[in-house]
Amino acid sequence: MNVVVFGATSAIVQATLRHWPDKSAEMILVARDPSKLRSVADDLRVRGHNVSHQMIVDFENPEQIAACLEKIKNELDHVGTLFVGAGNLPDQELAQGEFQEAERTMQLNYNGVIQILTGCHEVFAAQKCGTIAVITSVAGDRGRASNFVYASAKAGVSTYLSGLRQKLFKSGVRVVDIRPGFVDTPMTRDFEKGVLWASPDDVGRHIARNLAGKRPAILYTPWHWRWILLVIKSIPEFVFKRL
Amino acid sequence: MMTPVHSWGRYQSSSSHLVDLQWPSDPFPQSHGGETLAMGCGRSYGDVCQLNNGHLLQTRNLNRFIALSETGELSCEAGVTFDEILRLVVPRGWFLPVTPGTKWVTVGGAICNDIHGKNHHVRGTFGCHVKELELLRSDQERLICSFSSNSDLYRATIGGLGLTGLITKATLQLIPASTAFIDAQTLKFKSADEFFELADDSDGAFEYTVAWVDTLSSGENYLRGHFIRGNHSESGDRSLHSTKTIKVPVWPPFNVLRVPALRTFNAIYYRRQFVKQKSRLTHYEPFFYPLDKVANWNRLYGPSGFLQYQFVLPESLGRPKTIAFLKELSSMKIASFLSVLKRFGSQASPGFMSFPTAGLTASLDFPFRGPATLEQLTQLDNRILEMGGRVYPAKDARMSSRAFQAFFPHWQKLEQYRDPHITSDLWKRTTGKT
Repeated sequence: MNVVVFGATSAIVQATLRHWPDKSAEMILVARDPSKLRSVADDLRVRGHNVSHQMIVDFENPEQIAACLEKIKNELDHVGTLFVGAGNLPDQELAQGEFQEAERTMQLNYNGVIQILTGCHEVFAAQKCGTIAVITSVAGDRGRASNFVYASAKAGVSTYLSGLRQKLFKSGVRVVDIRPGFVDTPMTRDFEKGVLWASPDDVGRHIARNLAGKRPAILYTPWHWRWILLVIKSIPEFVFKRL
Repeated sequence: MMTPVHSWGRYQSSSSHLVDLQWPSDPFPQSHGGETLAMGCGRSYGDVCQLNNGHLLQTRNLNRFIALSETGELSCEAGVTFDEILRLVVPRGWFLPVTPGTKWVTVGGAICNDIHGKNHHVRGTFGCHVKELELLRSDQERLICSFSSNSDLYRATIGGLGLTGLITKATLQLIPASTAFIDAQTLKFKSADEFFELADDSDGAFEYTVAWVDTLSSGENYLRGHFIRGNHSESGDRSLHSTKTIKVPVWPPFNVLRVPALRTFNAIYYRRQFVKQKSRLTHYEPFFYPLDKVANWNRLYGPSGFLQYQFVLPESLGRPKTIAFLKELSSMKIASFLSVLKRFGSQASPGFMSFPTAGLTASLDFPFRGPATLEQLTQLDNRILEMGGRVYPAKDARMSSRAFQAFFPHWQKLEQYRDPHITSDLWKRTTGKT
């Protein structure tokens, strides 16, 4: 069973692939930077994984995404797991003040992801099996003043996945919405880290273990974020807006 | 954002700006005229990996493997730890050529301190097994260093205390090991003469030899201990070490390892082996890494911390004088918990700042009790100097510039190769160079 990975150089994705239980699974890796992708591919190969393809795609470029999807559909006769981990955390002040930055945030976190899911929909509907897994974020559960542009993109993907899950359920395709909480990665470099912060390795191990199973549909990682978000989501709006 | 950074001995603390490195292809981080230093796991006891008010380049995310050949040649990024290497290579029938007493060291740290292990008398230092390394300098120059390419910089970087640049990748040669087990023997001894007889008998036949000694014993038994020796075994499987550790949850507000308690502990520990000689098939984890089981054992010394002191006395000193010095040491009644004795071999390291030399090395820990401790160690420095020996910088936190420069006259050569934007608290302390 193969795995097609978008965003292979992201810290969480690298960690997940290192812990991928099926060492014989063919790995097709897609990322933007060739030298970083080579480093990731070499590392996985030394660890005994089977990396068969390395493809370069700029997520800001819809034509490149389309060409990549075409190539994948031509070369593979089925897709075992589609794993999408690309994303980008913008500066909130910049994104809320300049539409161009908000647009870029949407392209990297929403449009690009939806383009991939749209492109692969028929493949999964026809093969009637497989897993679609996308990394969104706990941020998407509720918009907060500190990151609502990013959060809205992630929330959009989560809603799309919810509908896709329903649509593809009868086809036997599993759709997983992976929602990491605070993870210590290059994306969160400038944040002060506290007790709730997890390492990419812990999160990657958790994701790899869960993707090998059949549940859940929404994976909060680490697990305690499920309960934290339950509390956050249940705060009435007239209270939340004052926080 | 400045972050407090402690040495493993917790004797010194410093405050630095931490810079996280992610990819070996990334440029050398700009410090805008400030000072920089690379830091791996931070297990050095002293300030060799500290830089107060500087930029500490954290290498732990440079943790990818690059290639592993059929002949055991391993290439990896410099932030890969010995723990990670063992997990990869033990199941494939390989082992680290040289390992210190902890798995929590990075390849970069191992090269910069040119670490040694229980098999120095057979394999030399870690640097002897480094075929090539990639060095990134602050002016963005990237150099491949080996015996045949940029060899001066290669010799300066091995044991070069991290001062020549940032090591991004390295290639090393592993040694074959059919299983994860060691055929280990422990023999009791009661005197320095007995220790040397055992070393003479063992060094030729055993890959690994080391002795734990009771520094508080006196009288006839002034140097009693356990001599441990072993070879990689053909018996057993290739099971890995465990990931579980015990964590010391709180700092005891005092040092639990004081003389009366330690004297009792040592007496019990010496006698725990009833027979004179015992053989056992031992997994590599307890053989090499007994302390790694307790995640932050350094906290047992209390808030004042401790100082590790390791020296080597050259073989040319001769056995009578060496034994006389050991007697002198034992009369000092040092309450050292982790006292280790070993004979170094004569295999030279490629690094000109390398610490080991053929002779006897001893490693002791001194709970820090204020100026008296420092005075005691300064006196030891003077004695070691008189006898032509030297002290290990990777464990040092306090030696004077006079002592350091006398122990390592090649320091000036290292200074020539030092990157102008790299320095360390140790280098400033021992040479005054920034």
